[in-house]
Amino acid sequence: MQLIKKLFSSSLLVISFILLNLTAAQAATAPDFSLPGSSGKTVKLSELKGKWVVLEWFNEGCPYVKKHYESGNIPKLQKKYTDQGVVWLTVLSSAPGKQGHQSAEEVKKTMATWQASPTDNLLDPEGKVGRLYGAKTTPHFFVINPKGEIVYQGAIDSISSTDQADIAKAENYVDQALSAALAGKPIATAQTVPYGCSVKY
Amino acid sequence: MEPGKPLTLGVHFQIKPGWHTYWKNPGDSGEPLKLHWEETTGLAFGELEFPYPTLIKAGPLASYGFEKEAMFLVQVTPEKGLPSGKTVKLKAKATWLVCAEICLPEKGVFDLELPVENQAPQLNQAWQPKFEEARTKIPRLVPTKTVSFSQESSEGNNWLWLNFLPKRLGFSPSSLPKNWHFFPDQGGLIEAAAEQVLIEQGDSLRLRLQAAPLQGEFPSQLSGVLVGGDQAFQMVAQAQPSRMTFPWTMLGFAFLGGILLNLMPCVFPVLSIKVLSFVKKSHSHPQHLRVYGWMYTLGVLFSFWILTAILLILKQLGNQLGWGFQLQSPNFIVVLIFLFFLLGFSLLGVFEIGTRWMGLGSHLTRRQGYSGSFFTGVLATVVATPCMAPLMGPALGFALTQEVFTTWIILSALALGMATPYLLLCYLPQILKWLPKPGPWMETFKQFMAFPLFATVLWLLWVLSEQTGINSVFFVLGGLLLSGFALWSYQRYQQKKLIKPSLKPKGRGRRWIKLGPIFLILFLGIVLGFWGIQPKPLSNSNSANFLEPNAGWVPFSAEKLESLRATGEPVFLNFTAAWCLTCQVNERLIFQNPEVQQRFAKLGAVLMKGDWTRQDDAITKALRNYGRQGVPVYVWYARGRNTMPKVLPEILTQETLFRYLN
Repeated sequence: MQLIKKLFSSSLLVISFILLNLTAAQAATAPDFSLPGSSGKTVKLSELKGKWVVLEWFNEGCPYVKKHYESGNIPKLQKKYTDQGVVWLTVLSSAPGKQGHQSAEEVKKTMATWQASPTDNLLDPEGKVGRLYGAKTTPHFFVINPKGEIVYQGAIDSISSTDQADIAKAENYVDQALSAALAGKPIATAQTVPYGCSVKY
Repeated sequence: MEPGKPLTLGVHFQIKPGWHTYWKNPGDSGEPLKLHWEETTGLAFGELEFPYPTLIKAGPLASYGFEKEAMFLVQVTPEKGLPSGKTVKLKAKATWLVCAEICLPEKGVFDLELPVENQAPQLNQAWQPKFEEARTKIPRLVPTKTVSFSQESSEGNNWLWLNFLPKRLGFSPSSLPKNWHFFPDQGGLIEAAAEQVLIEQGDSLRLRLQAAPLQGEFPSQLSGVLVGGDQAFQMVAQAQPSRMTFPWTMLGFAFLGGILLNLMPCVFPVLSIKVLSFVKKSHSHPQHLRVYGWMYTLGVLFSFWILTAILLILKQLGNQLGWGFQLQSPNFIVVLIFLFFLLGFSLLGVFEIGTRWMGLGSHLTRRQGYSGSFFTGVLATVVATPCMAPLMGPALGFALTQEVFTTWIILSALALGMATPYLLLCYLPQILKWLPKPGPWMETFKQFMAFPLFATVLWLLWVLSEQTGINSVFFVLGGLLLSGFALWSYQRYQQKKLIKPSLKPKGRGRRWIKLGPIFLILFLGIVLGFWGIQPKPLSNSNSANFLEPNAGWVPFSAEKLESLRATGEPVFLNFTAAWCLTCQVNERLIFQNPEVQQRFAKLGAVLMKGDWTRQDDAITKALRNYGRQGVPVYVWYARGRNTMPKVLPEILTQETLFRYLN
């Protein structure tokens, strides 16, 4: 009887494992891309394997982006995590002629006035990478682990508004995800609904 | 205001052309109107009520919001004890967002002074019509269970089908709106910009939404607003198990096939001998005998599950290599043709598979008690599988083309079928004496079973000719000829060995020298079969069915359908395939019937046929739009612009067809 029990439980395990494998969604791998940065270098995601990467969709004219830059919220996070070796990339997917479309020089100037220090600002005027990732709003965040898997995607924090006073009250998901990740802990919230202005494809 | 009587306040937006503001769920981006009431003693404020939104598209994104004008309502209830004669001051801070291409956050403070009187308040006549209009735009609450939804996944997309009866929302067939849209209360659940596809099926409507890529399971409830024409309904849709036509007929065949397996020479003796021994052992304890029966059943089931797991792994590996396990793939058809052909010869006794395994593991069955009967079940399948293979082959081949769950359930039915006679004997041991004795008849039966297999080969060859043309059938037949020759040589070799033992090779090497050429010929034959597979030129694609004239039917094309729909012409769609038996029956009995043809002609219907005999992405996509993954599918678009597609049942009668056409 003992043997039968063992055989049964193991076979059930095997079967459920297979079914799980076949039906469950695969771990979301971050699609590879290559874009010119405002630094003049070309950034290829697959070459950043082994590092933590943050993608942040950016539009200088969007009031939601302004909220987090003028308050110093995002620049502070950028400093905190790039100091720890995280690669922080802003992505500009606004089409030419639309709000938020900037040249390399312009975006560098914007970042300087806001005292922001992303690793680089990626220029995506055709919106290719924006569509590839399904970026919906500015800001919209993706956190990618050293294996190249998306471990967090969504909003910066829990309160959707343009009011700077809300920042202190909100739960900052990006900060939580990165600090947990760097400490080797599991990320509690892996997906949220992003908020902000629409990406101006 | 009158103490104790609620009254409604409105916030009215007039929006400049090109700009919009947002609904409570703003869709892909945006921010709804928010009111923060200053607390006033004696007043209770209700939730802000939103009118139903419209879809505002921008490139690959979409928002839910309002253009031109919007009126939001909120209910205020003064407490009963509020002293009259006083005035109360209402004050709300409001924030909202307006966007054109750029977005502007706005805020404002609204205040209002109202006297408290012991009589009904005087309504502002100038605003009454606006309030009435606003009320008609607030979604009406409908009871749960009015709408349900089911999930369906294909090619990396996750679809949600909302299912509801328009009758229960108060629509009659004549007042049925043509445009429907669903707006979820919560963001991030569905792709706001994805087209929502509507179909009519019987009395119910089905609306297809595209689920957002979510980590984890989709929630079991979906709340939101369903808008049909200019009416809106606030509803909660309950998840129902994914709509799957349960493969009852297949299960029936699998079960019968399982019973037939018992008649195979390698299983039948196990059956009677084992049962006999159990009957003897537990003569005085019939309940023991029953437990033996169930243990045997479990043993058979267990082995079949292992087999299922192996099959699924193989299928997964194959899929990764880009093989399609479906009857649309000519490669798969050729594999099946050779497999069935060889298994047929095996049944005829030309060669036997794996006889050496047979004795293996039989010692396990000599164990006493329950584990003994469990292993008898395992043995009956695992060890006897080689000799059952010829009969199991077709079932397994078919199971491979199915979804995971269906594969599993078919193989389980096969297992249960196989265990049933044994189980029956354990309950009614007296029928044992009615059973035929094992004997030469079993060999006759086995050989006879080769002929249904050869018939299947014939049918597969026909399907192949539909897919790739007669030339590749010629190659496959040539391959079968070579294989047949190889099998004949093998048999001659075996017989010679029996007659002249001196011919028995001294070493393994010698044996392989003789067998080598035979296997080489077999291999060449199979290669030849695959050599000839060439896709038929597409120009012929829809004239494929030589058994039926295609007069009056035009090939399916999504663009053509769209342009016909734009002019309002009636269209009948017929999705079919050569390998689909139901389709062929319907073709012959219904669509070739002169009465039906006359009816179509009278209606002036454009008849479109989508032939899915071969893989065709455009048709696959069209099938999904009607919530189907296979053929046959029949769809009727009545005359008139934007009439809803009606999906007909798969098994057609003239009566049902005419009922739908009316």
